[in-house]
Amino acid sequence: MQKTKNGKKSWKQDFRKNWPVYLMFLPLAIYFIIFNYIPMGGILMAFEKFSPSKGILGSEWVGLKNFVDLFTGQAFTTALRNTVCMAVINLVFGFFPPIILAIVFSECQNRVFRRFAQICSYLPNFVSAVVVCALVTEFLKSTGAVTEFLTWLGFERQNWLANPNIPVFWIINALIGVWVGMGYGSIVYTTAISNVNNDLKEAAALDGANRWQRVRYIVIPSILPLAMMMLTLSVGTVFMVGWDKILILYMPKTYDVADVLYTYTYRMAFGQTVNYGLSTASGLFQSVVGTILLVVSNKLNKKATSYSLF
Amino acid sequence: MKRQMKKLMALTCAAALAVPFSAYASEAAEECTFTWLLDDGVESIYYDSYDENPVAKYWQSMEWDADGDGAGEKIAITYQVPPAGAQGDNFNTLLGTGELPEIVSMSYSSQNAQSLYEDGVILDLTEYVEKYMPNYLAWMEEHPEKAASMTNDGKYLMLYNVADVPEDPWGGYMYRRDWLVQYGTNPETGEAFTGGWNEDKTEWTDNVVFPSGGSDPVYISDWEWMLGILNEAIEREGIEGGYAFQLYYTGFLSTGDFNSGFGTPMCNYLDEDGVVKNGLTSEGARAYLQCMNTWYENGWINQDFEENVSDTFFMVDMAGTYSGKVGCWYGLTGQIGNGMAGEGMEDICVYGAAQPINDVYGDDSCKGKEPNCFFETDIVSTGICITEKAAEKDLATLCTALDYFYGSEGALLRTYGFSDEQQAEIQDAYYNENGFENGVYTAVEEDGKTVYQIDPNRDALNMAIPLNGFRMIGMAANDNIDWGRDQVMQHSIDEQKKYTATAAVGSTVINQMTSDQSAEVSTISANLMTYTAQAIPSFIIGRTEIDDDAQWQSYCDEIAAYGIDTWVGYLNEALGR
Repeated sequence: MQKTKNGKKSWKQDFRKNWPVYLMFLPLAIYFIIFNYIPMGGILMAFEKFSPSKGILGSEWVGLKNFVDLFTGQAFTTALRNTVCMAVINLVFGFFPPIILAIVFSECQNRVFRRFAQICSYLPNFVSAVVVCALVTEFLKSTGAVTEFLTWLGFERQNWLANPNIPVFWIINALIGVWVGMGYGSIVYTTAISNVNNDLKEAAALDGANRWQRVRYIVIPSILPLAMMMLTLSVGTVFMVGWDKILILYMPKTYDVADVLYTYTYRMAFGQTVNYGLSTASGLFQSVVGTILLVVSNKLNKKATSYSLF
Repeated sequence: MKRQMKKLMALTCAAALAVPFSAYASEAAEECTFTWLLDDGVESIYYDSYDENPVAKYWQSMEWDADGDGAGEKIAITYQVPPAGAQGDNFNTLLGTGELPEIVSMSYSSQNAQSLYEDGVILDLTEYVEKYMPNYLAWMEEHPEKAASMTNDGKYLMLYNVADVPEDPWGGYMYRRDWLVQYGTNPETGEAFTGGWNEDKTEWTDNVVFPSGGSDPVYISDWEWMLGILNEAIEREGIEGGYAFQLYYTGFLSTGDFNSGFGTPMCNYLDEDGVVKNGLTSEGARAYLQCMNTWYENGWINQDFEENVSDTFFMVDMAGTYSGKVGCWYGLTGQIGNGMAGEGMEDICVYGAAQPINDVYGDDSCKGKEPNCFFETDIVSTGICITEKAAEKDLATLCTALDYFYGSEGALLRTYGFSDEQQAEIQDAYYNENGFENGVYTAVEEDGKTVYQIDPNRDALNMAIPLNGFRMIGMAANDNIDWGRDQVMQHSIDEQKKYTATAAVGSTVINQMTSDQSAEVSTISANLMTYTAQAIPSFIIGRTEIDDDAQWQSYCDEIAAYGIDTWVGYLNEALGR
């Protein structure tokens, strides 16, 4: 068989041998080219005074003006601070619960109960953001169920969503994220745990390891690479901070603590006229920062745990 | 035999298809054929396409002699209806791909007419309007205050929708009249009021007298007297979570509602000289906030008003309102009278109120001024533009045909549909099929003037839009209409339209701004909305002191820093175009 200088098969040879695989990949490649790469041309709008009638190529080039407008806007610094803080809190609050839940599910002996609990935990992920927000509003209003409980614990009776003190809204937002995403996020870990070699667990049990020790010394190390990959991936989208729910839940009274880059951009770009340039600039800024965070966190992961995404 | 059967079937199908259109057979020449992008169509439960609209078909069956040479031309329109909820996206897609049709409704355009003209998308219609649209020009002559902003540097770039008089309000301030009767006493004699519904609840009579002497609230002092009674009613009825006055979460309405009665509207407005000004930092605004702060401290205002952010200004706390927990609110006309009756609220009576005149707060410049700026359907609203695609078409005939809807006959046809006389002559099939064999209105002579009585079934069956031609452009005929309303409803609406919004800055002015100005104003407006939505509730609730000069000055400085003067300057510039 013909090989290249370094001993690997040439692409042509590989294609000839594995053309069905390439054929299967073709629709996916076309999909990504059409829906992910070609639209990237729209990034140009971030540097233009975009006009729909002139199009991307015909609109006036304004350089970095949209970025200047974005960064010098009235509430930009507050929105940036809130975004960063909420992102960190969401990462911390959101990372462990799916892992813990998956371990709990895997250790649950009652199969019927486990299945039922798993389905219940997945459900919030399929509830629309509007309904989730309506539920949260009901629970947290001054006569809501959660408020009643907190009042019973000694907290002042109030509409918790209207509380402008740091970090009340940030924690509420993180807990909403946990409630919505914990069950669904646990699926991937549950799958990974089910693939852990049972012989290892049995051997450990024979050696006298209790259930907690088996989890600690066998299960957790087995899913660590996956957990690191998930963490790295979530760092890349960390700036999104559940903005759709924030847009529904925040109010002028809590702008100072709840306004994030997405909501700020929404107010700025979709006012009396639609400012496509500003919204694209904001999106690009967040994408660039997200990409940098992704690369850095991947590097750090590699150094700390020797696992990396790429 | 088989072939003959096929031919017969084909002929039968063709004949069947031709029947519905035979009454309005349109044989328009190619240059008189247009496509019209509407804002909205008609729900498919009525008919599939706006091409089937009875008024549109009738209009297209008419001949238009633009040149006066005796040879009339028909026009043929194909209507395009964008997907509901995605009109803006649809417009942008068509604009970006160069697929906008010849006639485009502008409600959902992301660019104003001036900007589209600068980009070479739409035509200058001046030549055609001046020659072929006498009704449109006559309306402009009658309304010089509006005409000034209907052209761009003297050019007719857009044909606007207009109205003979403002449309009756669909909402306004309203209050629980039954509570005034039940819990109020005559401010002079101290005697309890009496009153109630007649047997079939079509008429309400009472002897309520306000401190100013009339049977309706006029001044802020009247309102304060009323709110005191409403508050007492809530307390005595033991209504948990009730309140006397409902306030929108921003603490004020940027349309000028309620606050313009304090001398200066808290928005952009036209002063007596026709110059645009902004009243957010005026003494009137401060007086309004002093009033609201007092009412809040009295416990009359919903204490959590700033948290109801998902409500629209005419539907704040609907659950509370409909369960009888609110004394006075900005609501919909459907709530007037016995409209909110329900279990335990069978005898409720809701009355409409005029916007108040301040006579209590601030200095003399804030008192005794009639409200002149509030939400009111403007007599001019956005309309259509003709795109470059129609440059080679017969625009003379098109403009002549469109002008028909600006005349009195065409305006009635567009606004309501066929009269009894017209329907008797036309025998429109759709009208007959839906029980409107006698048309939708009848003209009668009353006190020396013609009044148009509207068939109540039109609204009861929700058939207004399918039967009229309102999706097209023209004049709305709102004057001398008899809607057959009951006494409470008519009185309430008369109160709500007691004043005219002469100081409101219409959308036509905003449309005159250049694209650069629009973009800058959009940013200023977004920043201001964010700031005022925080600062104004703070004054009302008392987190910042409205009587503290330093805090008021700080608020004024912030407003100025956001570029309010730039915004006002652009509007004045646009007004002068």
